[in-house]
Amino acid sequence: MRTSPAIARIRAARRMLNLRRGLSMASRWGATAAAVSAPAACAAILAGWTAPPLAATLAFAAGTAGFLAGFALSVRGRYRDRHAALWLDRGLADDGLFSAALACLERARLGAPGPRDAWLAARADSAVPASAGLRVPARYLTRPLAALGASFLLCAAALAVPPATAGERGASPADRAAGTVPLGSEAGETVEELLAKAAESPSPEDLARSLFPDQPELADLLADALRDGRLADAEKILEKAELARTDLRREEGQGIGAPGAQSLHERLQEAVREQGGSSTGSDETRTERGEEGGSGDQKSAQTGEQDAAPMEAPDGAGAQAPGDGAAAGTGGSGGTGSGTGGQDGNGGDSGIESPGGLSDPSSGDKSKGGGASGSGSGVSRDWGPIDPSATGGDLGIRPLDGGAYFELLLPEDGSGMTDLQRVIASSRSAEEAIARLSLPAEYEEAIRAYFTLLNRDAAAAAGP
Amino acid sequence: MKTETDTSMEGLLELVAAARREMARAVVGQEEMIDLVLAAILCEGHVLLEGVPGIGKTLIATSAAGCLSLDYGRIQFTPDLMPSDVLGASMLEDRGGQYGLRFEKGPVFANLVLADEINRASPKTQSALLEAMQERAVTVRGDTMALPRPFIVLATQNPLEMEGTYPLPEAQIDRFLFKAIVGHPGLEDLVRIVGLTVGAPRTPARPVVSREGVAALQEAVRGVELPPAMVEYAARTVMLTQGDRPEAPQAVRDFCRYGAGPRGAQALVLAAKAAALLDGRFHAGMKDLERFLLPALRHRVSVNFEGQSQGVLPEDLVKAAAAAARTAVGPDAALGPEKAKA
Repeated sequence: MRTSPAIARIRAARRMLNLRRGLSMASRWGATAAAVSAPAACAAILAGWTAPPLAATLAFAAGTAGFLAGFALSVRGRYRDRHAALWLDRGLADDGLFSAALACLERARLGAPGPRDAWLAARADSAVPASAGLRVPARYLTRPLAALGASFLLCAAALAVPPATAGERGASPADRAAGTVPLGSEAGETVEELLAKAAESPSPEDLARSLFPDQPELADLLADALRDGRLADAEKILEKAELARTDLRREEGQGIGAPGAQSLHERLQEAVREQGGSSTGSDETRTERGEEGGSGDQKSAQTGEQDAAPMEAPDGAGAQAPGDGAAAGTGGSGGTGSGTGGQDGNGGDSGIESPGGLSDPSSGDKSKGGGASGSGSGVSRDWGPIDPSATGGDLGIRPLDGGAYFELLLPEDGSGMTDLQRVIASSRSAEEAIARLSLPAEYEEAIRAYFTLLNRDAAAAAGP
Repeated sequence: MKTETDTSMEGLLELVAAARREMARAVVGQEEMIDLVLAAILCEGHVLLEGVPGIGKTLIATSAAGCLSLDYGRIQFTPDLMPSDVLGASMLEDRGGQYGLRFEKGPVFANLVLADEINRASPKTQSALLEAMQERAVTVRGDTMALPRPFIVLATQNPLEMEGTYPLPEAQIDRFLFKAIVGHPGLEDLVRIVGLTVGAPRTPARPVVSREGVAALQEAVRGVELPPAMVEYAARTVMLTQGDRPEAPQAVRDFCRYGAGPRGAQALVLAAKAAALLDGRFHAGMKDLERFLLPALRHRVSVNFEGQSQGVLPEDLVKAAAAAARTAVGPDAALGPEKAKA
């Protein structure tokens, strides 16, 4: 049977219907997928899990995948000729004329034409011109397409989302909104406050300027290295400067061991000692540990605990820091500060020394002046397991009490280390441990400030 | 009446149109009822007419028989009516000194039988007629006699005065192609009825279609093209009248005691074809299916007690099922089509 105009019209209608339906379904699926993935991408960017371009690309990809999936589904359930014939019949209200013509075609294809097939086909052909004006409502396609466009714009908006800072990664949305990141649930002190306290201490710039008063470029380099915690670089700078000075002395005819040939390391220690002494007086070193007025020999306290010197007290009580010579060497788990004098004003510093126990710097025994056993009531925080191999070659850190405390592990020959070396090594270990733990930037700054103070105290304690 | 029946397509359509005209002339008003009876005759199906007395049921039957050249028989059902009064009886006959039995055909041996107030007869008599309706044959004393073709029964029942009646069992009601509710005529029709009937005696319906013509029309009805999607719609509608189907509408699931069966689907499709032919077409569509939807299905759906207490009618359930089936047929309704603006 020849393809009559009615049959051709039915097939054209079928193709048009399938295309419209496919585009509509694809748009709906694509819009849904993009609408779901765009907020997820924004959330991932804000959480710092991924960069905006990658997140936006993934959101676009999800939308595109949804589009293709919708189109594929529409192909699975695509309309047949009989559906298109019904669509035409519905539009023309012709009581099934096109459907009847299609049935006639089927019968002819099967070799069993009916007596009235030709008559019906002729009637259907005559109705073809009237069907030319039939169309699918525009809203059937425009609405899904508009939704798709809006969803893709949402994906594009992910590019404008600012990536999370290191501090925001660990902060709650409310804290991020407020711009403050508390260091503990019960801290009561924000990072800004702690940094302000840290800023009161001698800065690396001061130290560097004291070492290189007439070489500001070198001082800046050293300050940057100290500020960034690149102690190895700082040491290299010092060594180079020392070598240069040695060469200069040699050219000037002075011996290396001549009087006044003080090494830069020594000068650094001296500068630290001087600045530390000027800022806190004689009892300065106890304050940062949460010990109050410990006027004794803290050097002996430190060196007496070589094997297991507690580095930080999460509870902020300065538990591990011996505050008094009399109590020195009483064990690695807690100093028995019995110092006199009240320096409780510096008790806040002790909060810097432990991310886990910073929550309540004023808690604990430090305010009692007696430093009784260094116990505290800070809230411990689970920092997870720490890989000792990540803590550097010289020293190690291992968690105690489920992460509530950190223990500094000294090498076998740690007794031969100077205070400055020990502090530098421990600070490097701490830096690496902190880096491995992916602490928020604000925490890192706070800890770095703590080690700056510790460095100063250690240099002062080492003595000339 | 033409002696030769024009069986061409145009000739068949002309026969249908002539029958409708003559019926409309003989019966004032009740156009829908006329088409229903003509459709039943074209489908060779039986009709159960339900309505109060005096609204033209008998006139429709006699007029249909008259214009279609059909033999007409009438049986007034009463409680003491016996099956032999319907089917016929064997009579003792003297054949020259020898006696034999001769079967005397009953009123059922006619082309168009009006079974008036069928629910007043006993179930035994009802069953005799209903068996003849189904088999289109009568068996008496072991002898089976075919009924004349076409054989159509127009049964009436009075919804009032139900005392002393024997309602037809559902299984037997299912054998009727249509169940029509005949209502009172409207004001305009009533005025015409009065004006035409109280004056000069009216001319009864003239035969405009021969019996061969009726047979040709019955054959043509079965040749009307009904798209497969429409057949699916009819079948789906019937399925959705069954309350135990999870896809059935809520009203059907709640209030249906039993739904339509295969006979319902057959009746719906055949009625749609007849409706298309009555409309002068050899192709049927959704409109034709829905034209006789209620007459074809209302007596095949039963409402449970809860539904009856809430005033739910079988027609409500049929409409709900058809509405649910309609959404599953054809392209998505959102696809239109709509007419393009000029």
